[in-house]
Amino acid sequence: MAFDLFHGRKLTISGTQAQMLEQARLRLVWVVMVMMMGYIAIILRMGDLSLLHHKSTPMLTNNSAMALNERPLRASIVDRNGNLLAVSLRMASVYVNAKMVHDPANLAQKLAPILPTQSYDDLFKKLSSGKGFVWLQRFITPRQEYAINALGDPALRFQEEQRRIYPDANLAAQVIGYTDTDSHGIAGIEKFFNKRLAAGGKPLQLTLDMRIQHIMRQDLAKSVKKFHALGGAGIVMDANTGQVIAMVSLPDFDPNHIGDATNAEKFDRATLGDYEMGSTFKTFSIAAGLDSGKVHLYSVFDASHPLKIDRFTIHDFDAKNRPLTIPEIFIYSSNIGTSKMAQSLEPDTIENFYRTLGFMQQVPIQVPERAMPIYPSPWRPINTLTAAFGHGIAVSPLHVVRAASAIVNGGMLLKPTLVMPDDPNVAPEGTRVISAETSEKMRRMLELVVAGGTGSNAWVKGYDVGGKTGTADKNKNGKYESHANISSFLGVFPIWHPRYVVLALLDDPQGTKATYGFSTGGFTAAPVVGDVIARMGPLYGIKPRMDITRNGIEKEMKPYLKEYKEGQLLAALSTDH
Amino acid sequence: MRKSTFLWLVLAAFCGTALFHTSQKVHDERNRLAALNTSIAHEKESIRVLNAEWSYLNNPQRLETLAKTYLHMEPLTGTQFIKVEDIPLRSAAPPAPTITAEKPAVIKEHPHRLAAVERPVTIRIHKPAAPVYFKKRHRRKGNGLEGGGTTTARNFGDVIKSLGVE
Repeated sequence: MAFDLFHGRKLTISGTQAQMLEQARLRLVWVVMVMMMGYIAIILRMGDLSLLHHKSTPMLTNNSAMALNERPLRASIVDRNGNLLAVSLRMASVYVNAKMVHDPANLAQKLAPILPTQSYDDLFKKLSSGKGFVWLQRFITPRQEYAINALGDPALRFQEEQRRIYPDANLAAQVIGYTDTDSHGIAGIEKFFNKRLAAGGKPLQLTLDMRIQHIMRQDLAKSVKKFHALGGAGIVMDANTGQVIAMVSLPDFDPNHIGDATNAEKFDRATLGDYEMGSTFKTFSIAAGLDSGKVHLYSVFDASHPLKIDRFTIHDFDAKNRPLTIPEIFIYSSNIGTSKMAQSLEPDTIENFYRTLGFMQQVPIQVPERAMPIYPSPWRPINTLTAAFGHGIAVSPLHVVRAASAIVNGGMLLKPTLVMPDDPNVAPEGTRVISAETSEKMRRMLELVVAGGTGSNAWVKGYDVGGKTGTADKNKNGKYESHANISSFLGVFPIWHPRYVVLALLDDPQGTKATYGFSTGGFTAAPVVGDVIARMGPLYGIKPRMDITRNGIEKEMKPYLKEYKEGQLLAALSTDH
Repeated sequence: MRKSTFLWLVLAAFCGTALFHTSQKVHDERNRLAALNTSIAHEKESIRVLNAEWSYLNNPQRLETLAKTYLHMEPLTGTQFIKVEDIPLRSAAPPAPTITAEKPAVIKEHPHRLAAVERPVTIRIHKPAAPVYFKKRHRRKGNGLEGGGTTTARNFGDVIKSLGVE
C-alpha cells in the first residue's frame, strides 16, 4: 500500500509491484539518511571551527614573511634608553643566471656604472661564467635595485635578504659584536644571544648608555693618542646593581665593515685582556687585611728598606724610607708596606680573598669573549707578597671593576650584567665579601688618594671622587719590560654614597713633556676618569657639592698621617708605582 | 504542490545568489586583507629604516660636533649647578627701577633689553599706552633725554626715542 505522491489519491498496489516500491522507498530512506548524516557532520564541524577553535585558526595572510616561509628579521639591540644599537633591514641582493645572458659584454657595460664597487672585468667574468647562479652583489641599495630592474634583462634576478646595521658604528663594537653575511652572530652580544635574536621579536635591551659610552670612548681615545699608547680599555659600572653602563676597548672597528677590521681591533681588552694591574690591587689586599681584623688603619709597617725574599727584592717607586700607617701605604702606594702587611696575615688570607672576589675564574658576563685570569698555581708565600701589590696575577679590567664595586658598595659582590633586568626594582643578588665597616674605611682611603695622593689628576670640582692608580711593567712572554707599562686608574664616585665605578686602562703609554716623562696611571689614566666623571655627573643629575675641599678628607685622616701639614700632602706626591 | 515547488526553487535561487555574493565578498575582503597586510609590512619596514636612520643621525659624536659648531654648546660641568635657595628672590615691593635717561649707555650694557625694544611689534603695542604727558613733554623739549624723570613709562619712551626706532 502506498500513496500517490502527486495526487494524494489512495492507490492499492499489491504483489511484486508493492514489493518493488517498498524496496525503492527503503533505498531512498537510506540515501537521505546518509546525506543527512553528512550534513550534520559538516554542521558540527563548522560549529566546532567557528565557535570552539575559532582562535587557533591560522591567519594565512597575517605575515607576508611567514607566507613566504622566510626567516623572521633578527631582533634589534637597544641601549638602556631605547636607542638602536643594531637593527636588521631587508635588502635586495642581485644574482645572475648566466645561462640566460646573451651579450655579456654589453650587459657588463650597462651594469658597471650601477655597481661601482665592481670593475667591468669582474662583471664580465661573472656574466659569461655560464653558471645558473652567480651573486653579482649582495645588499644593494633601493636605487641600484631600481636601476637594474630598469635594464629589463631577465637574467638578472633579486633575492631579498636581511642585513645587520650598526647605526653607531664603532661606539660599542666589541661588546655588541657582529654577525656574518647570513646574520648569524659570531661575536659579542650577537653571538651570546644568537638564538634569542635570530627568533626575532622584542628588541634586546642592554644596560649600556650610549651617551656615557661615547664620553668614555672619546676621553680614552684622547689619552691613547696623547700618550701614544697601543690601546686602552674603559668601563663604567653601576656599583649597586652590577650593570655595565659603558665598556670601551681601543683600538676598535666599524662592525658595518667587518672585513676591514684587524684582529687587534676586534680584541676586547675590557673582558678578554688579562693585565697585571699593579697598585690598583692594593685596594683589594688592604681590604682583605682590614676585614681580617688583624690590621687596622693605625697599624704601622716599616718601609725603610727594600724587602728581600729569596732572590726577589721589593722596592718602592717613590720610597718614603720610614715606617708607614695603612692609609700612608695606600696613598704613597708603598709596595714594601703592602707586602709586609700581607705577610702579617694568615698565609692564605690574600689568596682566599682574591678567589672570593672572582679573580680565579671568568667573569660571568653575557659575552663569549671572557678572559680566564692568570694566577700562580701552586700559590707560594712569595706570591702573596707580590699579588698584594698586583704583580704575578693578571685579570681582565672587568674583574677589577666588579671587585671594586664590592669594596665600595658596602661589601656585596654582584654578578655583572650587560642586559637590562625585566624588573629593575628587584634588588640584585650578591654575596658579602667584606663588612660594611671595612667598605667605609676603604672609601675614605680612596678619597684621600684623589684629594691629595697619586690620583689627584682625577679630582673633579663638585664631585667627591675616590680612586687608586695602578702601574705595572708589561709582561711579555714571561719577561717584564721595564719601559712598557700597563697604567690604570680605578675611580669611584660619589665616594660617600658610591654609585659608579669607573676604570680607565692604557696599554703601553709613553710619557710626555707635560707629565715629566712619566707614563704612570696617575698621569695617563686618572685624567680620563676625571673627565668622564665631570661629564657624567651633570648628565645623570648627580648633585654636585661645592662644600667639598681637598683639605676636608686630609684633616679627617690626620691621625693616621704622620707627615701631614695642611695643603702639603698634594705637593709631596707626584708619581706612583 | 506546484506552488510550493516554485517557492523552494525561488528560495534555492535566493540562497545561491546570497552564497555567491558572500563568497565573492569574502574573496574581495581577503584580497583587501592581503593588500593591507602587505602595506603594513611595508610600513613596518619603513619604520625600521627610519628608526635606523634616526639612530644614525643621533650618534652622540655627530650631535656633539653639531652642537659645538652651530650652537656653541659645551658639556655641562658640576660648577654650573646652583641651589634654588641661592637664587635671590624678588622682594615684596620692588623699588621702581630707575633708568636714568641721561645715560643711554646703560641700555647698551643690557643687550637683551635692547633687543626687546628694537622689535617693532613691541613698540607698536606700547605706543598707544604711553601717557599723554610724555607726548606733551616730548614736544616741548624736543628730546626727552634731559628730563631727569623718574617714572618708568616716561623713561622707557625716552629710551625708544633716543634709539630712533619710532
